Amino acid sequence: MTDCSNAEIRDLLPDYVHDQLSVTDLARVEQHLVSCADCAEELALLQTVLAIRPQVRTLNIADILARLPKPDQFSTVTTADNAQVAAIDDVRDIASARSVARKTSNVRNWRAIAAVAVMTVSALSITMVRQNYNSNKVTPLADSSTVAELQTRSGPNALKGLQDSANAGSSDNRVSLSVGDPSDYTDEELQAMMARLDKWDGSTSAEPLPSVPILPPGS
Amino acid sequence: MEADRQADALLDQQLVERWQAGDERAASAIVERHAPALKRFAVSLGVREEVDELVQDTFVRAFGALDSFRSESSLRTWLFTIERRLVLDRRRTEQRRRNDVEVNDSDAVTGYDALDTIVAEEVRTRVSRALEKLSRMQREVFVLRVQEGRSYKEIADILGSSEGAARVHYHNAMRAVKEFLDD
Repeated sequence: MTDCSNAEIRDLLPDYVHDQLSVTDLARVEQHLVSCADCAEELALLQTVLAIRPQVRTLNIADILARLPKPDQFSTVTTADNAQVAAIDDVRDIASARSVARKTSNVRNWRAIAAVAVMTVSALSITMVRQNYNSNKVTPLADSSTVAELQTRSGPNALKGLQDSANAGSSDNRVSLSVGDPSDYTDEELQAMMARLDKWDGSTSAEPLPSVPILPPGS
Repeated sequence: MEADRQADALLDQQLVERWQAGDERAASAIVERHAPALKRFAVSLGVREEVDELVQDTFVRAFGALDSFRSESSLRTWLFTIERRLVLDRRRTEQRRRNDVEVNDSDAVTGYDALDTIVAEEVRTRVSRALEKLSRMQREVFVLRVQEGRSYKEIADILGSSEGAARVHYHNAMRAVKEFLDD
């Protein structure tokens, strides 16, 4: 077998076999075939190749359809006179309504969860800020009467120690939180904190703490 | 005829739109129109096992991505493209040696159309063997062009190649078949 030199006609031969040519091309090919033995031979070969095309057994369409995803939208394409289709549409509507209800419920749940989360974070933030404030504000919490009482019970050294620890904490700009490890503090700081805790007994955490400055002894 | 192709493409597009609008009967029509060609193409690609499952997977994949179908190519071309990718994925996954196409595979071939009555059995057998000798790319192009009637552009879309490359593969395949038959 030899190839015809007319590549354009040869390219059209498969379309000729499948009857896919326009009227113009069909006329050109048929005219050419009359006088070209090579193309006639090639055409016979193409027809043979088409003839041995695998013939497949019938597929189970229902199996395929059962596996297909469902369309997302439903419209009026289904005809009203088809009762079966209408029934299917009713089922779809119910399913669609349930789907919308589920989505709405989900949105509400998420909103509630988000609100609780915001409230929790806010409460934690306030607590931490308050604790941070209290830790930095080491000014003793005693008023003048408390100072006098302390001096009476323990002598001036007790108050001096308390003042020293307060001044040390202020100069270091140390941020001390209640969640810290006790080993982070010196013995003096721990004692000072214990002393302050003794003074805080009975006061609620929600109440603002007194901020009366310590007066030097004798003032 | 070209008009028939355009009518087919228009019908496919309408069926796709109907399915997207919720008409499940359109899916049935689409499957019935293209399933036989997909199974035939799968066999031509050398698939010999679980052909029906492959066709099913092709439709499932296609319907799951119908929103991305833009009608720039025909629906059948698009389906062929998906099926071919699935075949390649299956080959990679199974890592098994690819068996050559056997167009007379007993699983798929159950008979011949009317034209076979005038084709000698010897010629038919020889042509079948000639196709088996082609390279994979040549065979895919040749089958799509001759047995499925796809254009070079459609073949290029399916194979992820160019029209020029598809044309070259087709003519090389034709030359190889002729040489085999002349021997």
